[in-house]
Amino acid sequence: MADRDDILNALPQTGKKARVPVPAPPLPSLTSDAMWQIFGARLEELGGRLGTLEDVEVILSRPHVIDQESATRLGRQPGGVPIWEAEVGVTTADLAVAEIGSLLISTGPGRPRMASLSPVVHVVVMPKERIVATLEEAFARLSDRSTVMITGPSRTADIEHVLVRGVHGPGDIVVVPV
Amino acid sequence: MKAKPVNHPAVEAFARQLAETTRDSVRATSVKVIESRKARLVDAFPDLEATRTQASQIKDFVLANISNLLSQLEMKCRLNGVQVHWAKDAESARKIILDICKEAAPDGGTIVKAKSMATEEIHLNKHLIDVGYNVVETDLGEFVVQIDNDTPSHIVAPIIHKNRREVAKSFEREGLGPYTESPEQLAAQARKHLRERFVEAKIGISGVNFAIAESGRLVLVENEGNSRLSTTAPDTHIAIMGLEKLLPSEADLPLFLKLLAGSATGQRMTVYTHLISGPRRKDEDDGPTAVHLVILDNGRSKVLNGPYKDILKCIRCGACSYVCPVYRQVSGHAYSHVYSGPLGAVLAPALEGIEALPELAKASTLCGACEEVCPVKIPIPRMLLQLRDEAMRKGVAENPIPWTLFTFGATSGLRWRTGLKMLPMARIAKHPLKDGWTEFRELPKKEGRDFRKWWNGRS
Repeated sequence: MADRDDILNALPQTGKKARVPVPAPPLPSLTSDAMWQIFGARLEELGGRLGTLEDVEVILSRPHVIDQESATRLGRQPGGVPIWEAEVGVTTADLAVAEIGSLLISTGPGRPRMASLSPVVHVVVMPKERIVATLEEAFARLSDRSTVMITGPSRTADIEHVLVRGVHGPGDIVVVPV
Repeated sequence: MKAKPVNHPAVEAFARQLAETTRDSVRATSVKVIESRKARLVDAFPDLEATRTQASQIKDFVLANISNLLSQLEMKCRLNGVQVHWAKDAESARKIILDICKEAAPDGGTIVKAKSMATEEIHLNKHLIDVGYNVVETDLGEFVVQIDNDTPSHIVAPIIHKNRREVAKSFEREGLGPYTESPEQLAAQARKHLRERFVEAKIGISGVNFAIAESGRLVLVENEGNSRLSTTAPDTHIAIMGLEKLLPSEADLPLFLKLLAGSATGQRMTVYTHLISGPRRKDEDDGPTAVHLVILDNGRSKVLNGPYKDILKCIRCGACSYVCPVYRQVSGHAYSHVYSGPLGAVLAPALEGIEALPELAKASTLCGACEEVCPVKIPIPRMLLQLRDEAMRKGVAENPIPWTLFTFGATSGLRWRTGLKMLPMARIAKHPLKDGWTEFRELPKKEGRDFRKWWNGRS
């Protein structure tokens, strides 16, 4: 801990420069349908898509894992194959963010982090009322648990700036409003 | 006789030897990113100028209150169950990390790494490999850098200097799969190879993009998913951050996340924004059981007390490199430091001392493009001038002969006036200053009246 005191003592002690408040951007008043429309368009730009419960049934023919909440909504058993073998992960999300097409997913009981990460397809079963217009609104309602915000499929442009999807995380995202 | 090229780093010499393919790929990517970046930021922020000012002021606040904010971060992290360590220099940081690794994986084994400039700065990989760990870079670009025994040439796009054929040859050599020039197939080969490393690793090491003082939350952003896998699959997660990477509160995040994504890659938002609130809780299914945070000084407290402190407002978007005419010609390796581009030309000598890198600040045309694109408005050109000045005053930089002559002439009124009178002779004389310049050009003739005569004679 010697390093700690050395560092803190070496830092400038100017302090007390007034904090600039970040003005909250005006909140657009959008209907849920309008927000879902924007969200769908953004998701498509990113390479994901909106889907239906019928799509989910087809996708679930592949080896999969399902988190607790979406299992209940789909009338299926939670869990599934060992996580590294799963080709499909089905989860719910805390919030969808319309303006940027993002999904916020927190951890918690029955909500494994890996389900949205290691499979090649990520299906999000999303209750329709859990959508907000802006990132600012979403972050005002963050869970205090570890949370990931997912904005489209996994991607890289490391090789010659050519876009490739699904490099480590899922290359396909299907969001199913319910 | 010609002016000597700058000697350290040999930026000019490097640029001359640079393979054409390298220069082409650096320039092509830079242009693409800068175009998409501009469109995206203008679209995301109705008043981009005001937004940059706001972000800049928040970072000013952080630097002015850094001691208090770090204490607050430490306390909040501890409450979240994160173990906090302080490292005053690279050696101390390496020892802390090695001790954690020895406890978490005493028999060696695989360590998966997410992209982190702080770990590059302290040369962590080499030390962990030397004691027997199998350290694997998992970001696609960094993985290529590692198997080629190379170094990153851009802080966001580490293999901007390589083309797909070079990557394909490396993968074929390492046995990842058959030669292919398809970036999709190359990425798939890397995914398959690296997935096995994620399964076997007991330790994951990452950097930190933002640490939130108010909540103790560590924020990591990335596009591939390798950073999430590195910090989720292994039982132990070690995060290392430069001590300036703070934000006061979570309410500041939306602004900075949008600015970083737009500035770095022209995206509306980075694919994965990982907000880490500590290790796995008792009722959670997965995630690391131990999370360590190493807060790194390594020269930063010294920089904060000096004239270059504003460089520590940097959020590492890399836009200044993409837009820099010098960077586009010479690529990142010419800067001979882990931090390259205009940012590196200031940060590297600020951290290491001007004596270590006296010529780096000269690798700039002072065109000002870097400051124009900087999301937190860092006055890079002003600091480059200050660094040049410091190098001259301390006598550590070489002054090319024409400038030495110019300085001699320009610092005395008599010598200057005599010089002006003799200037027309330069057209006929063969002398050192003209060499090179007059190969393709004519020196201008003196035309019209003499300004000084007119000035002195006016009533």
